[in-house]
Parts: sequence; C-alpha cells; structure tokens
Amino acid sequence: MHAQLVVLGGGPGGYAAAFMAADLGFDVTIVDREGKLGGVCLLRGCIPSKALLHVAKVIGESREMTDWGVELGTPKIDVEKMRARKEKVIKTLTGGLAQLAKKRKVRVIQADGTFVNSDSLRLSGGDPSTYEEGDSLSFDHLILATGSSPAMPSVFKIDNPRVVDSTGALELEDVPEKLLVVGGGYIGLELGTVYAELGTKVSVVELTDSLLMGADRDLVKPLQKRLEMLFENIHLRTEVTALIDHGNQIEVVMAGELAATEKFDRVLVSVGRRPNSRGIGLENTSVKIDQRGFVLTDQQQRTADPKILAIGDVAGEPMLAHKASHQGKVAVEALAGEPAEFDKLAIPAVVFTDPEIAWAGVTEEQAKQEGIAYEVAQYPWAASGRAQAVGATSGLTKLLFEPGSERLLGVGLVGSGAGELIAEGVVAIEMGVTARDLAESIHAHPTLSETLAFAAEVQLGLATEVYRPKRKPVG
Amino acid sequence: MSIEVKVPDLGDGLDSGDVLNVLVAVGDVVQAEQGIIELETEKAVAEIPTTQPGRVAAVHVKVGQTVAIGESIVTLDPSDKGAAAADQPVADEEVTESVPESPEPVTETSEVPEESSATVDSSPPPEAPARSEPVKPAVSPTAKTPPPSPPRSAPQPQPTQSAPIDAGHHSAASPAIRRYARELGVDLAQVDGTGPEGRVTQEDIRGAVRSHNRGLGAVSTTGADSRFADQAASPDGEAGDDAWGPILTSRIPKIRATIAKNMVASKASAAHVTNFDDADITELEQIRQSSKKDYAAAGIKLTTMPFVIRSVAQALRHHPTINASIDMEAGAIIYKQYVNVGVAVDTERGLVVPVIRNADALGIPQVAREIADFAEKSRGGKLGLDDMRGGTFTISNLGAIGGTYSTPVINVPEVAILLVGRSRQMPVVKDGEIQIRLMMPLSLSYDHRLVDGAAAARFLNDVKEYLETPGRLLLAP
Repeated sequence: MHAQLVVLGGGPGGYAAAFMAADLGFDVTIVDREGKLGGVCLLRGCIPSKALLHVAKVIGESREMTDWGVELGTPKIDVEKMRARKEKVIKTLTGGLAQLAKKRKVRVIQADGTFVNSDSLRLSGGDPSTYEEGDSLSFDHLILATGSSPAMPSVFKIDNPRVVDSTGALELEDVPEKLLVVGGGYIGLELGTVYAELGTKVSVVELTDSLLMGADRDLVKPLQKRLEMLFENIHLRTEVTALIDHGNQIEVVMAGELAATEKFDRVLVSVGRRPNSRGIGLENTSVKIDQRGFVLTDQQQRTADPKILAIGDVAGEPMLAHKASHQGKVAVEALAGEPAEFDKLAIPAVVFTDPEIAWAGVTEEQAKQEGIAYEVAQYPWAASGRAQAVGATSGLTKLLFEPGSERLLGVGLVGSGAGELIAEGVVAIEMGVTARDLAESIHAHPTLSETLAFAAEVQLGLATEVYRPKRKPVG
Repeated sequence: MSIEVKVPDLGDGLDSGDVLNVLVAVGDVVQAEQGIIELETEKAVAEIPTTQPGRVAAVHVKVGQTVAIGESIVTLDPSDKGAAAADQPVADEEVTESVPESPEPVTETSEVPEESSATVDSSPPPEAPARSEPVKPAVSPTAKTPPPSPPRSAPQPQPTQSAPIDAGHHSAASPAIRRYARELGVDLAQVDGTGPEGRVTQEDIRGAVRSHNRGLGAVSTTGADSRFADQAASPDGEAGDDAWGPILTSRIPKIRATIAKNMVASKASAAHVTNFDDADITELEQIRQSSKKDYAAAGIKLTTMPFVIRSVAQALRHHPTINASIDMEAGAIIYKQYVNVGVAVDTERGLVVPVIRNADALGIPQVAREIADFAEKSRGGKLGLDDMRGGTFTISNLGAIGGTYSTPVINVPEVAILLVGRSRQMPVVKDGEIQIRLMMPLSLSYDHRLVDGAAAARFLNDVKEYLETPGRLLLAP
C-alpha cells in the first residue's frame, strides 16, 4: 500500500492536517490505533472533561444561589445517566469527524503504525479489515501526530483499578467517597473539581510549592482560595512515596511537608504527560528526539528526516490541542510549498476550573525568568459592575506591556469565563496592539470583557473605574 | 579652450527627449563617438555620442530632464584626451558607474532618483530576494504529487519553546503581515514599521522588496531574459491599493505612449482585415539546416526570418498596392518604388521596428547579417532613429515565443503587416496521401481601404510560393 501523505495519529492535530491536505489535493491516509478519530482530546481529554465540568459548574452555582435566597436543595446524581450523556457528546463529535473524513476521501486505517524506515510503516493490530491489502504502508511524506500519554511513575503501578490516570477518572465508574489527586496541574485540578462537586472528598498532593506551575501566582490565588473550600485538603511540597493495595481502598504513604498515611477509595495520578515518541520505530528513521522524548522540528514542523514532519504534543510543549491543529496546518502548507511557519506570539492556555484561569503571550513569571522588560497593569474584577452582579468578584485581569512602546506582550485572566475572554488577548498580542488601542476600542457594558480595556486604561493612567494616580503627567 | 557637446538633430520631426541616463561624470575622459547620455524620444531610446574626445569638465543635464535640440549636454576639455585615459583616475567619487566599459547601456546608476525608476524599465528578475523557498507553487486539486518541498533548514535545537518567539525583537507585525513577509522573502527584523505605533504594514514589506530590487537593478539583465519572462513581471512603480488588492502605478514610458498612440491611430484609420494561411516550409527547413553551420562559422545565426523577409520583399515587387500607402486627405495613393521591410523586435524597453532597406535587392546572407546587427543594436539600446524610418511593410515574428495566428495591427501609413507564428509539423494531404509537413502559420492584416481581399490573397499566395519553393526564392533575380 502507498499513500502520498500519511498522518500517523488522528487527534486534533492529525485530523486537521489530514483534512487540510485533502482539501489541497493530497492523497491522504490517517493511521490511528483507535476506531474513532479525535484522539485524546475528543475521546478522553478536553471534550469529556468539559462535559463533566459543565455539570460541576452548574452544581457549584446552584449552591451559590443560597446567597441570593434561592434554595435548590441537594442534587440527586445519576452517574450512569451522566456517563451516558458524556458518551453521547463524544459519539456525536467522532461521528462528525468520520463523515468529514469520508467526504474528503481521507482513508482511515485503524492500526498501530511502526516505522520500518523513512519511507514506510508496518501496520499491526487495530482493525485489520481496514488494511486488508497488506501490512506495509509506504508514503511520500508523513506527519507524525502521535500525541502524548499520561505519565505513570512506577510507584503508582500497583495493578489496582482504583489507581487511575485521567482516562480512568473520565470513565466516571462511580463517585468515590474519598479521592486523592496526585499532581496539582490543570488536569488534576479540573478532574478534582468534577468529583468534588459530585460529592467526593478530594485531596490534592503536589510535590512543588504551588498549584498550576507555569501560571502567574496572582492568577492562581483566587482559584486556590476557592479550591481550599471545595477540596478536603491541599498538600503542597508533599510527595507520594508508596501505595499500599487494600483491595477496595488504597493506602497512600506521603512524605514531605505532610508526612502521613491515609486511605482513599481512588487515586488519580495526574503528574504530567509524556510524548508518544517511543516504541514506534522512530529509531529506524532520521528523526531526532530530545531528552524528554519530544521530536525536534523546525518552524515548518520538519524533522531531521526529510520525509517526516511532526506536530502537536509529540513535537513539544505546550501540549495543547489548539497548538497541534495549527501546527498541523503549518506542516501541510509547508509540504505544499506555502510560506507557512509556526511563528505564534501567543498560544492561549486555559484551566477550566471554577474560576477559570487563562493566559496568553508572556507571563509575568516567564518575563522575570527570561529577563524580558515589562510593565504590568491589573484590573481587579471587584471594580466591575458585571462581576459584582454575577458574584465573580475574585477575578483579575492583568496585562503585560513592553515599556516605552506600551505594546501588549501578555494577558492573564482569572475568573468566570476567562477561557472565552482570553481570545481578545490572543488577537491583540498577535496584532501587536498597544495599551492605547485596547483602551480606545469600545467594549460592551456591562461585560467582563470590559476589564481588558480598563486594565489598558490603568496602564495609561486613565482608568475611571478605579482610582490610581496617573503614571505620567499629561502634556 | 573647451567644447560644448549639444543635443544633435533627432530627425523625424522630433525636437526633444528625456534624459534616461547620464553615462559620464566630471573628470571622465571620453573618446570620440563614446556615448554620453541615453535619450528617450517618442520613437526610441538612443545613446547620444560625443563627436570629440576630451575630458568632461561639466555635465549640464540630469536624469529625467527634458532636453531640446541644440541644448548643451557636457563641456569637454579637449586638451586632455585619449592617451592619458588609462591612468586617469575617476575624480568624482559620487558617481559609481560613470563610464560604461561595455557597449551595454548602464541602465541604473546610484544617481537615478527614485521617481524616475518607473521609466527605467530594467526590471530585475522576478525572484524573491532573501529566501530560497519556492514562492507559492499552489497545489492544484488534481496534482498527483505535491510540488517539491522547500529546502529544509536545520531543526531548531529548542523545539519546545512556546510563547512569544520574537515579540519586541522586530516591529509589531500581525500574523497576516508576517506571512506576507515570508511570502516575499522579507526578513521582518530588517523592516522598520511605518504604520501606527511602528507597526509593519503591507506597504513596508513591499517597500523592502522594492529597495532590494533596486539594488539588483544595477546588475541589470538584458535581452536574454525577456524571452522567458514578460518584462512587466516585476514592474516598478508607486505602490498603492485599489478595491481589489495591491497595485503599482508607474508613469507610461515614452516608447509605450508612442506605441499606444500609433496602435489607436492605426485601428481608427485603417480598415483592418486579416487573412490566415500556412506555408509548407519542409524543404526550406532542410536548406536552412544544411547551411546553418556555414553561417554559424561566420558568426551569424541563420533563422527562418531572412527567408521570410526575402520572400516578402520579392512578392512586394509584384504587388504594388501592398507596397503603398493611402492618403485620404490628399486623395492620393502613394506607390513606393522601393521595398523597405520593417521587422518588429521585442526589446526590454518595448516594441521597435528597425527597417531593412531595399530588402528586395539583398540575398539571404545580407539579410541575415542585417538582422543580427539590429538584434545587437537593440540589445544595447543603440538603435538609431534612422534605423526605424522609411518602412513600406512590416513583419512581426512570434515564432520564437510561440502561437500560431493573430490579427496584427498595421504599422500605418503602411497598408499591410505579416505576422509569422511558430512552425509546427502537421498532417497534410499531399499527392493523395497524408504526410507530415512543417507548416509555418501566416497572418496577413491589410488595409481594406486600399487592398481588396483578392489582392491580399494573391500577395499571400506569392509569399507562400517563395517559401515553399526555396530554389525560386534563392535564385529570384
């Protein structure tokens, strides 16, 4: 079998690349070990977690209604129905992708693809009826989009189904009484939020001294406050040293700031993700991999092997679906000879907790670390009428500007809907707008989006909604 | 003592021209007949030579200036001539390319001011300057293989770098502008933004390309390239936008204005009709092939053109109405008693028509030599006005470029023009069977005011007959 272009991996990066390539006239084959397109994002990542977080959010908000004089009572939860609804969301979306592939005449082979050399894959497993003609697939070009998998250090491998990774947690087998989340990153906090709102007593243990490494502290603070109320415990600077299997319960031995032993009904291990670059025969090609397992690419997603390009999680941080799909399009355009390059100034990152956290461009932490000169302007949501009206007063909007030019370098948000609000920041950064541009673009009142313009006014010393002495004299 | 070199009589009722280039500078030593300026008139671009040798004491004209006959161009000091030239240093260092050492015109010097570059049609090759990647080889939906991949650059050592790649390292530029820059091969770090707050605009990118191209202009290309790419492929001009996208606006060069005027005048006065036909040149081609080497040894490339010119010239002798002009106002038909055949030549400055005089009296070798001379002169921009006057009939040959038939516009006041397309092998019924013959497509436009269809057809038949029976052509008295 031969294909002009093979896309190895049918996740959001892979299918975006495949579809675009097909639209440009390439003959495209996707090889994926799953029976459905969509990858981790759609099958056991972004989408199912957002479905469950939606439920969690409504439960959380219904509780808050008490403050407004509305008693909604304790919710009755039918886990099976919830799971079915989540599955329906996935089914609808994967069905849509299958249709899109079919309409574009993109062939989908369900198999594990292993590189024999730089020109061909050996196919195995999956659904052999999708590759009846033979188990060898040669190609002119291949886009590597194998994604990443949850890391599972050996200390957690005790062969008890009550120790799960994010995939297992999203299965929603049951609502355990006590859940330990190992790792205070966004996956652990999102899934911890889901279970906590469903009634589980959730504890978080994090090795470092803060939750959500990489995000600015002032953005994490309102979330941490809220999680401290929602969760049973948050143990920072604490390590899990051993798991002891008690059948229906797992005994967890912790060391560090908290040295203790405690039993949980389930343990969610969310200590990071590893690129899927091993065990697929890349050593039989000229592709180069760094120490962490990421495939090295240039700005056009080309690897060291002339026939192979790599995109998405396997090609490096940040491991985000929207980065993958953009890189997929860049890779295809590069193959088509277009002058595309992955030269983004801002890749939005969103943590879908309650409140949400979102950032794009330069973060303050990063600016400090890398010695990037910046000025920061903040607008606390407590000063926003809309935030007051919807009880989102813990929110914060912060903007980082280049000194002198007042060009926008970074945007950080915490608060309800931050994940949607960040879009304006991304466009603004990519367009190279200045504080003046933001401040003088009319934002609808009363919305939370106003806080972006108000923060820009703070930078200019012109904010009327807060009191802050002028930075520089007028004239 | 000093000598003033003045603008000579330009002939043809012309009294002025625009200075396209100044070829000398103060301090230069010039020889008699050496070109000192390039002058563009309504008819042509011509190099104006000095009549005397000497050292340039003063230059009185500059690029873009309109000068009239009798106006002084340079002042020469005749006491310092010739002999000392070799070790004479060029005194004025402002001029970087003052004395052309080859007969090639210097099409751009560092002195050419920006606004006049629109008229200097020395377009550089249309290449993207900075990068080697192919520019937009669009993949057609039916393409079986993708276009060759652009050359790879070495993988970055830090592929995991995420956020801002170079915010602050160059002027702010939106994603669309960044892509546009890559498309044109412009390094953004080298571009200063002129938009609001120093943003890089599309115009800035285009400006960067233009300034780069101007740099290339100094090592200008001639002749050879114009065969492959329309010189307008990378025109120069003032950038702007209309409702549908970016445009360049450039001033109409005089030669183009002249062509335009003549074309419209011709279409407005002559009653154009065009006849199409094919001449079987299979035998002629054999003769040409057998003589090619002999001509090459004499430094002449023997094309089919001399044969066509001679055929036309011979036929014109027998068809006085074709070798004539018509003057409606005077109520006169002027039968030319000489046969001067103009040959349309595509130069990088535009279409010119040098004239081969008394072509009916010239044999193939002489005609071939004259064509070669004209080609050489037109490449050097040295066709004089006299070279282009007095034609009685024009031949336009598109054979080298391609195509078969066309409807050429008559070069008034002539009354007919023959366009020669590219010869190709065709199945022809000959002696009751289908044979493969080399056929030359011919398109004859004529002015029906003077020439009737039958007369034109008879003339064209005559031309064909000469081409098809080369023995008769070569031996024609």
